[in-house]
Amino acid sequence: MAEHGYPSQPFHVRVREALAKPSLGQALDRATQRFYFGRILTWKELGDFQTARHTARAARRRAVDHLDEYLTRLAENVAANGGHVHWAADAAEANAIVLDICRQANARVVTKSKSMLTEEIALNDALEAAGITVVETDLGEWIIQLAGETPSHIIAPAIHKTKAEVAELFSRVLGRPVPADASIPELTLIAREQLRQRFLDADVGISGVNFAIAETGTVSIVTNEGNGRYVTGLPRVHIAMMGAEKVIGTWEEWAATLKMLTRSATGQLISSYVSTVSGPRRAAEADGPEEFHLVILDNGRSRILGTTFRESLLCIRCAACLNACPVYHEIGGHAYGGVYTGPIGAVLSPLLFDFDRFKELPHASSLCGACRDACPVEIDLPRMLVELRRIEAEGEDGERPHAPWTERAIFALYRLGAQTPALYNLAAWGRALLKPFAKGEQVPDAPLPVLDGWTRYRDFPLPAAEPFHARWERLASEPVGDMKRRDAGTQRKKD
Amino acid sequence: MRVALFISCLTDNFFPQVGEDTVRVLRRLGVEVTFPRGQTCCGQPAFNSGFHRDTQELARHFIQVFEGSEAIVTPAGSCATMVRKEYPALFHHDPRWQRRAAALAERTYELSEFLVDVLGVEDVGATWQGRVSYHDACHALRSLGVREQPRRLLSHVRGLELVDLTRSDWCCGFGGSFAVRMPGISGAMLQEKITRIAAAGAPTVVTTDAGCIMNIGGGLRKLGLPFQIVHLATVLAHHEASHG
Repeated sequence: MAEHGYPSQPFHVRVREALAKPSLGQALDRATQRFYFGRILTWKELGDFQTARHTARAARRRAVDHLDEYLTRLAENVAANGGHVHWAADAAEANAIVLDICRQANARVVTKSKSMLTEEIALNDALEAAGITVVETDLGEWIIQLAGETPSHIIAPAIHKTKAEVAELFSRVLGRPVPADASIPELTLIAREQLRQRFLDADVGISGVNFAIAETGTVSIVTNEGNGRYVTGLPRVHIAMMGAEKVIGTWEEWAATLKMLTRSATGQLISSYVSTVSGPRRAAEADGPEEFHLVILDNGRSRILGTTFRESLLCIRCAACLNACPVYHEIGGHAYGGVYTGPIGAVLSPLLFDFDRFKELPHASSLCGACRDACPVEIDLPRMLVELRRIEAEGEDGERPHAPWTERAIFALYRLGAQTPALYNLAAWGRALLKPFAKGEQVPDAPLPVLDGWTRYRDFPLPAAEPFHARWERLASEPVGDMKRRDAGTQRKKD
Repeated sequence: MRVALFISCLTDNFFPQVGEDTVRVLRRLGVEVTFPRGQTCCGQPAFNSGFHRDTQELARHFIQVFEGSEAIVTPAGSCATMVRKEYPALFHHDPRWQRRAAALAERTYELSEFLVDVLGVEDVGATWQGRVSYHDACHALRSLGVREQPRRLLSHVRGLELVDLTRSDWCCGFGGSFAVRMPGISGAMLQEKITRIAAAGAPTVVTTDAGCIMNIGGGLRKLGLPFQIVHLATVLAHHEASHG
């Protein structure tokens, strides 16, 4: 079995498999484009959405720039509310902490609401290995749990599956026929029947955290299915799991950022449920857990803090960059090979986990910039992708570069050629080289390295017989008068 | 007004006619055009591949070649982006070169923004018979904010009918080395673009970057489809008296 959170196949194989699966394109197209246009419409509804973005970004920046201070305040306030705070340096520590809490509670069944962080640390595997039954209660998470898969999208983990595929999965796993044309409400009803008793059985509920508000020690969870409230409110023990960067200073900052999260994630002005939990049940309260635990995980985040990639910690996991990304649109999330997918995954996976095992991801982008425009906290993702490429090409802090010598040699030659105008006669060189493969002025097929990938989908134009710089003398001596002939028809507003 | 033409290596070597068209449009509007000899590539291929030390050397060369120019105009949106947005950051460890890069960045324009924003011209006196769609080149659109300028210029071309291209802002899959490094993904993106071009139905697609022209044009030809992609400059240079 593949190591959790790491790719089991080389990148090009993952991509080939994704591109060969026609149902993937359909499933992705429907959902991502709905989210994409939903974001645009709900941003417009804000009127001055740029100011809203700046405000959300500023709130996130303050938290990340003063992370130690904010986390300390958060921890103090959680403790003051009667909760327990646990600090975990890495995945193993976090899993051990959770397992320990579950054992103390004699837990046999654990329910979970959606949490990317627990995917990051493979918590389910750790708990199941200890004999604890783990039940995902977010519909998408439950689907991929049944299928034995990892999420392919940050907010819609089963986005890669069509309705028919989900119906087939339910039939197989539940041992009763579910018609292939079952509607989404019908499928949801099946999930509800299956999950209802589980909510009541659970000894421990584990949730993620969308925001942790430092000033009152409150965690906030954004969901659309209501499962989050069952998970955090019904069991005796609630464990909330957060990446250290998820802290935010004040309720005002929470509101400013939440507003951008729901709009950017699903195109909702507000999600169906926004829960805020400030510690365990109090004396006068009828509901709520007896124990509240907050696990704060580092797992590589503090390493990013001091680098040029600090900005990636502003991310609020809305997945707007995925929905805007033409590459994600073609290959889906699983081809990224890690827990975090799309443009933000291409930045986070090499940084948080293993540079070499994810080094292709920063190249899986045309640098079109759609992700940067979509990001509600204005993270410059293309800049970071290029910076990761730079580290691969040139090495960091005296380290050896990761890029193969052939590639480095190509760019050294290119630089030499382009620096020396006499050598910079691409057209003549290229034309001579490609002429044997050409039909007219086009090369339909080039059995040459590098170019063969190009000609699989396109003709390649032969470099011009007479490039522009050779035409300049003649062009410069053309009479201008003739060209100005129609000047009368132009409107000149200013000079 | 006098501008230096920054031709860009793809235009120079593969689409020299676009360079000629650019010069003719500018001259027709009374702009004097110079062509600084010694110009080569701005370094974008190396930059995007992560070879920033190599890029710095090319950027220094570029700055020396163009430093004396009043304004720099290029028919390539992504090359304008390179000079305007990336050069200053490239020299973040070197304040002297950074100042020179920043000074140059301020005077560098993509063709359509130069025409509309600097010259204040929307009607260049061009004629083009038929329906065209417009594809937004990514860097021009998202890094330079060039969205309305080309459309305004096209709206004043006599005989031209601009039709909608669905998701005209969706990348065509070029991305420089991306197209050869990730051919499968790039090819799939190109396929989507071509499907939308066909759905739009206009026989001509207009754009503002040689990369898109090479990619989309090559794809259309490979499939033998009856659509052509041309540079905005080619449409703007076209009038009754011109050849073609």
